[in-house]
Amino acid sequence: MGRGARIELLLFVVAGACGLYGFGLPRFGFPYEPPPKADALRIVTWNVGAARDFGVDVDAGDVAARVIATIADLQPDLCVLQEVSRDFAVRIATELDADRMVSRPARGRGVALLSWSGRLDPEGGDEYVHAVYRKGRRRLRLVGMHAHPWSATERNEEIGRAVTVLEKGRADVRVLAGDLNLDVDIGGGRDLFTEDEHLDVQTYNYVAERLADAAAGTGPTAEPDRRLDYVFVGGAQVRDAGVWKGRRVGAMDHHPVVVDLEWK
Amino acid sequence: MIALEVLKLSRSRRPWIAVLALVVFLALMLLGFWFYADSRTGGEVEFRYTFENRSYFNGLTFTVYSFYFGCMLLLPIFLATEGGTQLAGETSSGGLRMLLTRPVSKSRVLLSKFVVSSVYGVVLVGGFLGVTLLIGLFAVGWGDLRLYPGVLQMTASPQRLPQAEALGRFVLIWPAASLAMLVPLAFSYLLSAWMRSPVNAASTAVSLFLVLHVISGVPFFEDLRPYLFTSHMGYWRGLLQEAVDWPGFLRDAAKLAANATLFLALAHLRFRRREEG
Repeated sequence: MGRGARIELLLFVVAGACGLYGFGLPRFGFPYEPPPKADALRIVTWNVGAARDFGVDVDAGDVAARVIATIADLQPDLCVLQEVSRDFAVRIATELDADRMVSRPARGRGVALLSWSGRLDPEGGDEYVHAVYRKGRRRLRLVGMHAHPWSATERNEEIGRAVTVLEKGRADVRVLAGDLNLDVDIGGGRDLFTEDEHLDVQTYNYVAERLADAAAGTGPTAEPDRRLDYVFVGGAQVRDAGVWKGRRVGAMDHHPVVVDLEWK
Repeated sequence: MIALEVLKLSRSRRPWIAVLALVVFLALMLLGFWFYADSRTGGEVEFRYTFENRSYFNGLTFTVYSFYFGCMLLLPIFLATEGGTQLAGETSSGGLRMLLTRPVSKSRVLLSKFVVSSVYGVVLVGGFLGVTLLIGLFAVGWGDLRLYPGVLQMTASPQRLPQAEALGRFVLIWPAASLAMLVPLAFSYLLSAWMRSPVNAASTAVSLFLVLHVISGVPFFEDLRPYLFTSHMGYWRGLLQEAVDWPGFLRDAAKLAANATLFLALAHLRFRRREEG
């Protein structure tokens, strides 16, 4: 082998080694596997509604079966659903043997909170579900919501009020979860397309200064390529977080967001 | 060989064109920054629940944003042009054939050129960063660096770095951003080894870089993005976090190093095997 070929071989080996370290191997397991229940708390948020223009009833047939099967696979402790009718929420709670279900009409279809393996006490709220969840010795205060899809000003007001509610009540852990409809392209990779989404940026940062965005950097949560669904957490370490793609069917346009918290 | 390449580069007009373009860019950025800070934080806050205030628009923020745009678009184009003209330029002028009549291997020719181009890239990146910091200091004024999540993805959560620490991070950003610039440079060397016209090589390198850059920003290619080098060129933003995620940062650096080395290896293979007519 000549000197030139040896140099090439060396360069290819260096490229391969760097590539293996940088790109690594595909990640398997999360979020399909349930977390160890003893020291983790799993929260799922999912807008299970479908775009109305497609004329698909999300409560019907395969869609309902897929939603129920997905939640069953994930085995969450708390699950916040948006664009869900009360009837559908009751059906999910019944089929999955939830301990408690709270729902509120919002955005025409409703928001629901389901709980397992702990005690859930509703705390009222008209435009969102607000409850305190106790598991072991820790108390978690959660607001689940579906923020206004069209008006940034309305979103700002609704989310701001939800954060105020979370901050006022007593709790060890505070969680704001749901379809917040804030599209600020964080982690979206659209470096060139710098639309002026200044308004949502203001609202996002208002929340992010108070609570940690648990699933930041894990990719878009809604089609096409938007990050609209969030789990903001205060008072607990995030063990793992991500978006489970491939679970939406029909005209559904959101993916479930899964967050595992340290819970000791 | 290296001394010869340095001499050629110093006699070329391309570095000076790059510097002139960067100066014009910085002047425009300064104007834009001033108007933006004035209009967006001068009592025009629309929402009750907001983080907006005037204090985070300072010289360090100006540096971050100017350097970001420079690194994502301008510097890669200058370096792609530089690399594209190297081998193809000498092939076209006949200089390469004359050079190879001497007892010099093709490996040595290519690697000498690449080393000199790389050093030029590192100096260009460092000079651009230094001048941007100085303009920020004298025209805007320094302070703590505060970054918020937004459309430019500088950070995923609000960050605040004291001035001295932020300046230390900029020192680290210099080599990190320089590594990112080596990828379009090596890519253009690959094209330069393939083509015999410097105009074609440089323009193809710039065109393909822009195509990849756009593709890495289009939502349809979400699954392809992680494998495009253009998706990782702004990885140095990770150094502006209060707590740097070093494993993640090093993985991104390794992705870029893998791309640069692969392009260089392919360029070497092509250049070594081709016949000089």
